[in-house]
Amino acid sequence: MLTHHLLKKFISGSLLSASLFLSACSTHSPQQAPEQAEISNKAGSELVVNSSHGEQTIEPTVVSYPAQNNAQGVSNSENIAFDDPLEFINRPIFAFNDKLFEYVLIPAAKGYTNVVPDPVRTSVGHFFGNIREPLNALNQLFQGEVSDSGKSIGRFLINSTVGLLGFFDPATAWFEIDENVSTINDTLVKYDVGYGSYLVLPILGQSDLRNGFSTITESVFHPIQYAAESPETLYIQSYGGFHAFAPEAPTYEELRKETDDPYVFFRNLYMQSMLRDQQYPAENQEPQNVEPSTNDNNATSTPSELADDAPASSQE
Amino acid sequence: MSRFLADFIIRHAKLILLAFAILGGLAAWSAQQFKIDASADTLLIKNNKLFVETQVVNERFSPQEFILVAYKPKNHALFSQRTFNDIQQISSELTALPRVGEVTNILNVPLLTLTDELDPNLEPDQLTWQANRYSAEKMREVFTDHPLFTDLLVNQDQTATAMQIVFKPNKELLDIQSQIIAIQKKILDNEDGELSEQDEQKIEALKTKAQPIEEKLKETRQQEIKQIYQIIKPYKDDSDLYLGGAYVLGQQMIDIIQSDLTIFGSAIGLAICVILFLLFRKIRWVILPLLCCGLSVILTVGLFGLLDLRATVISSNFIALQLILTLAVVVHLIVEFRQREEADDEASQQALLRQTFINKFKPCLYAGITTSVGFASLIFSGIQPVVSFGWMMIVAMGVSICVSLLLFPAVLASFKRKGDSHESRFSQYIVSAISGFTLKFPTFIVLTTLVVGGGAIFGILKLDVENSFLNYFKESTQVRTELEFIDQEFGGSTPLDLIYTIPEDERRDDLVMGAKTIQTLQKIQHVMRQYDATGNITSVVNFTELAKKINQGKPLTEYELTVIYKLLDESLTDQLLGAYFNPENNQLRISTRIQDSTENFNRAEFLETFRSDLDMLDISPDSYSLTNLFVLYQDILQRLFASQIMTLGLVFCALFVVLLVIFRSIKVALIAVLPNILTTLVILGVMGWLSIPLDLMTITISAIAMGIAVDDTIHFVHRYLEELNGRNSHNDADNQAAIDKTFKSVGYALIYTTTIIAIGFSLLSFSDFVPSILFGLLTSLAMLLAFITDTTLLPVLLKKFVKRKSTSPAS
Repeated sequence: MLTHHLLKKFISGSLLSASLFLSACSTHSPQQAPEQAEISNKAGSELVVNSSHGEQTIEPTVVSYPAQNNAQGVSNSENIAFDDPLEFINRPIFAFNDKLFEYVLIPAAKGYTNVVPDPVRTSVGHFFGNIREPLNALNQLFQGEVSDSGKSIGRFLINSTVGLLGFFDPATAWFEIDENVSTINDTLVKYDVGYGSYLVLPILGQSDLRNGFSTITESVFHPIQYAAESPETLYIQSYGGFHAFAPEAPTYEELRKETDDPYVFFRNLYMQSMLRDQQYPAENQEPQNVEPSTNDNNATSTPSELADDAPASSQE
Repeated sequence: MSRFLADFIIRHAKLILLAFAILGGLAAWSAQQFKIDASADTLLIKNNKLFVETQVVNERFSPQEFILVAYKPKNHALFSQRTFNDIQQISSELTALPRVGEVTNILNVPLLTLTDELDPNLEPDQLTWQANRYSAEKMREVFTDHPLFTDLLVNQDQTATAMQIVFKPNKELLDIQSQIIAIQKKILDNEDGELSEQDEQKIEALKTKAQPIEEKLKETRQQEIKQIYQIIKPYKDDSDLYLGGAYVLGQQMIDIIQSDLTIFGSAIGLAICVILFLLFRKIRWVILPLLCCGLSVILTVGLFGLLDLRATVISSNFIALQLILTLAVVVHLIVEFRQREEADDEASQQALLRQTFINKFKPCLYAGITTSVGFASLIFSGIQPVVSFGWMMIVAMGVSICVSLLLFPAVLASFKRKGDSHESRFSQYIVSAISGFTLKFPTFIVLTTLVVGGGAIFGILKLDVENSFLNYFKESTQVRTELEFIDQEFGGSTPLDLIYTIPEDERRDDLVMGAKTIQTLQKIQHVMRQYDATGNITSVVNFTELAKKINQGKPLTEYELTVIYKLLDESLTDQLLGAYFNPENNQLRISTRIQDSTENFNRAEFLETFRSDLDMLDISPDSYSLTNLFVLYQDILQRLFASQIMTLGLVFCALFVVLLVIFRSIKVALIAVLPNILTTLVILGVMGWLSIPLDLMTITISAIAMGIAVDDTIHFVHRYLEELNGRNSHNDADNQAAIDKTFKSVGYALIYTTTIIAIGFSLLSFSDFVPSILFGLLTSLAMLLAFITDTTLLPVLLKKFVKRKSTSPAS
């Protein structure tokens, strides 16, 4: 089935995911090459400024991650060549996805967004967001974030009941408990598991071995499995993915149009975002609920979702 | 020659008066064409590269013309319903003005930080207070340390907010300007930086076309500022409202100059009348000088109107200077006439006039010529406005000399002899005191001169060039308070741009901008932010900061940046980033405004530090350029300062040559040039000691001091030589007698002119406009110094070194 946030990954490298029936990768161990990312990430995370004011460091607002162990910022006019050992299989899958998007998913998504009114879609978003709260809680628990885990459970309880099966989000609106999505991928990152290598999943799009593993495992243990029977769960999960994808369909189309080699562009976009997320983990933004100023800014969003569309960004 | 002229004038007095009446009428009509141009480009050298560069950059990034209105509540919180209501009300009234494009304020700016993510379908209008009526508390949060709006719409302390009134550009004018820029661009590409004759003509034609539009625009701006003041007036009870921005500053300056002109013009006129009457005790000696001065000014202004010579900031003093120089000539004539009258009881009015004219024609003419020579040296400075100031003063001098020498006898010829002329006892006492002192203590005088001269040179070494338009307004004034508030709280006054060209190897086909480029910009901006004098700094970096904030503090990747840029609506990216990023030319712009009110701010040093800091950041000088008004003014000032030394040297040389021609003696010329050099040096030295910086308004003071000083010198030396050679003797006693005689004749005129001008112009010290104060006081000082050196040092040197010519036969 379709996971949501296909494009979220292109755009922001969000690590959310649902599930899918691609099992081919599950055998890959995600521990493959943890160092490579680590090294290039930590290097030059701060900018050194030498001037008459002395030597100072500032945090960059825009970063780039060159392939391998190149120091940051040495990039040149050549395209960044990430190590892509699976390119031979990735490219055909990408081409397949591309056609699928162009002829099936995007037209369908456009129709969907046109037909289904906004409030309904928002509610659907809430529903899918709510249904994965147990997964969030579990992952947060594994990451040692006990209080976050409690919050996720609290949200699940509130929204499933007061929120009418999760179609509404009173936990955020009334109780001011913000959603905090957490995936197996996040947990793996927490335990310093490397991303392995770049991977394009059929239909789902850009990913990597670690995230692919996360996606598939989560689909297997998705709470929906306990609420519905086998073929329906697939339909529901697929719908969830499609629902999340729908508002971003035009985005994909537009970006695709503007790039010469979409495969490379989307790969670099994905890889850089992924590496950036790894370097700036979500904990940095923990004070979200403490500091009033961020409260309004980021009330419902998960880290690093930059180009998502509002209702879809946090719910799933 | 002078005899013939004297006869002619006296005989045809009526005709001359009639001619002057007609000329005066014509001049008054043509004077309407005369224009004062205070715009920046009048200050530039023709085809100045920096200026063209600024124009090109402005065209490329098209920053908009705006005025800031700051709103500072007195008794209610800044973020409150009350404020929001006021702001909304004021803004809607302002928007109603025809030329206003929009009024940006805290209520209608898109609060992008309130969004969870950068949505490609972003609709900024949905994220405003107007659309959502956010609570006061929420607004306060949003505007706390906002990457874009702090210091722009809300000050750091959150005590005031600003509305930015953005004006629509005039399409027609814009079109003409871009045509001009297209031609001027050639200067930047050409090696020699010259334009062909044909191009020059094209530009000239375009400028003529643009001129009426510009005139109209200027008028509209004036109107608008008045209207804005009207609009904000009702709100002033509960809050302080201040206007700021380059145009307001300019307008305030014009307003204050105009009101100064009326108030101090009449005050000085009145003072001169009173002093003239006190000195001469006859109405005719009051009216005649005024007539000469008035006619000279009208004729000159009319002539300028005809020749389309425009007064600029630098030449704005020409009227005052012409008054001084005309007065000096007339007073010399009056004193001479009265002395003739006193000496000869029998002679008729005509005879007296004739004698006066014959005696005074040469020295007056010489004084005029030397003064003109002083100003002529400005022509070689190579700086357009200074050159035109030089020309204007030469024309003015010529007119003054003609008018005084013709009008004085012509008017008096129609009067009957009145008799009863003698100098007052008080002035007699002073003259004899001075001459006595001078003759008694020559060594003391020479020593003092040396000490003062040395001190002056030390002072000159301390001279500085600094131009702060804000400091043009006296500290106690309301205008200064308002402008200073905006300057300090809302991001500075004088614009300075850094244009960064993305290096070849950082340009990427698949990215809108590489991370390294942004990081470089970020470094530059980080350095800039730490200078005391930089106000608000804006570039694409602020938007990436904003994006980072929205992205929960995580930096974007260069690919994400590209995605956002490509997905956002083109008109939106243009609106947000157009002023800071030009993809076609791979150029980025960091825009800042320099805070003019920064204390002890050394502008030249600042630019130097900035450049060396950029060097430390490994940014090659080829990849960036600094442009806009701050750099332009600084460049002009530096050139003016450099040309000062050259000009001064040239003035001294030219003056020496002219004196040599007039007096036909190297010795006399050397002696005569000394007091003038001393006066000029002391004036500059005093400025150095008092740390009055040379700026656009004071930069011509040395030429002025020289012009004033040389008058006294010529009259004194000329009379001394006459007295000396008119006597039949060889010894020292004759020198002394000649000095004494000179004092008793020219001495009075010197005292009178000095008194009149020094007192008259020191009235300017009551002005609110600092350049006027300085001009008044420094001119008075120059007058006094010239008087002192010409009545002490000059006679001492003359007595010591200039004996009667042995070759000349006794008369």
